[in-house]
Amino acid sequence: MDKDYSLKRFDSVLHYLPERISARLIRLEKELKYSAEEIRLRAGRPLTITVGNSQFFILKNGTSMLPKADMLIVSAEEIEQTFRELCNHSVYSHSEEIKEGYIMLEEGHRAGICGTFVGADGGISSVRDISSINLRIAKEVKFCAGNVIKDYDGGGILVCGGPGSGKTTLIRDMVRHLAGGMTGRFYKVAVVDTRGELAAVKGGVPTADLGSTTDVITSCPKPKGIEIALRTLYPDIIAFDEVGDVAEVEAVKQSMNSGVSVITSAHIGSVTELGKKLQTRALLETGAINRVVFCNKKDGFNYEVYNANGLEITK
Amino acid sequence: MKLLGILLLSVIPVSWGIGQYIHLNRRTTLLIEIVQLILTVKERIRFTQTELDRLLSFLHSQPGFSKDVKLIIRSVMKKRNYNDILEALKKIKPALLKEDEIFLLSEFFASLGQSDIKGQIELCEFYFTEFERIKTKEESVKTEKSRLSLGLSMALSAVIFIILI
Repeated sequence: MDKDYSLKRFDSVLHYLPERISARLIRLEKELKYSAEEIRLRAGRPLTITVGNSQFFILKNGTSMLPKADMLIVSAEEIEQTFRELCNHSVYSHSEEIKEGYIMLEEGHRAGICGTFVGADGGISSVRDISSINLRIAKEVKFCAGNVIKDYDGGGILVCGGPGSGKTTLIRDMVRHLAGGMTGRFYKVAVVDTRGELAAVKGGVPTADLGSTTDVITSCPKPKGIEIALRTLYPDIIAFDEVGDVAEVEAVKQSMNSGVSVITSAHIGSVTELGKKLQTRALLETGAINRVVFCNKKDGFNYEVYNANGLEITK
Repeated sequence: MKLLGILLLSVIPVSWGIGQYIHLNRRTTLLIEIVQLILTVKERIRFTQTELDRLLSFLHSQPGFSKDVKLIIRSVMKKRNYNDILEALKKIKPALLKEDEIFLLSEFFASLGQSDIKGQIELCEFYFTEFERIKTKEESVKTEKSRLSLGLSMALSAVIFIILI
């Protein structure tokens, strides 16, 4: 991945943070900056940065993989201030996201929110006393889907992997290839971007490169988004992140019946796990999936491609 | 020359009366527009959930609002807390508003963006009621005062004219 690009992505989240914290993070060593995946703020506890499976504690000077006396401790006021900045001082405009425990940021980054969730009418109405914020730095990895998609001739693709394995990144690049004519044809791709992670739309324009023939539906529940796409956009492919419940599997079935292929992802770490999870089993049973891609980010961007029967195609 | 002097002197009370009338009229218009502004904010938050900065820019671009309201909107843009907003509003000195109204307006702008949709709607309704009450009171004051000031000034002008002629 381009190191300058990664540094820019890291720097682009700093303006959300209080001055004391951002001033410290600006001075971080470059290696840590460009490999950083998350910035974690916890009230009354040390500021940490996640790189892969490792946690780096930010000290007043330097970093450490173990807690030390001079760690930078985040105050509750700083958490509150960060929350206001993340909401762009418009809490109401992020109400629906906050209820789900996150805030989508303009650059495609996502902030996970942790605190006291307030209930109403059997659901969650709001969150108060925010105790932690997890700033997840979104990065595009262009051409990472090249080998997965190069001989694409239709059919659905399920991208599997654990958290932080690069599923969203891979889907985004697949869409870019398919809608960018890199597979020999410009596919009409409809992206149902419920959480805003795939396209990172800002003022109606996707800030992520998704090719020329992509339409993006944002902040819409996936089943409804798929329905809208099928009815109004007439796409060749519908792409969305993280297939979760039965309603979404039903929507996939509906799109398959309309002759539209689906690209989606699931939190699944291995082939054996694939058949165990109810939703993915149901998804595979619809017949809408032709390929299953497992990705991980150990030593770079790696993936294995299987057909729907679990037979490995490439590595 | 004498006649011209008399005419000029006689015109002074009338101009004062007209000035009073215009002032009351502008003040009432401004209060009506503030009420409309609050209603628009409430509806935009309810139906579009537009972020605050963009919402204020949208309001500022609306042709329906007068220069006075646009000046108020412009002065509070990018201001995040009550003191900054109050200071900004005091700086532009909206002469048509009384001090307690400036405080109230500052509170309204400072509360925007601080809570969820339900909270924001309730907030807008509260300030709507407050400004609606002020506006209604001011409309009746306007009717009384404008008649009185115009009548008195015209009578005074006539008296001055008669005495001096």
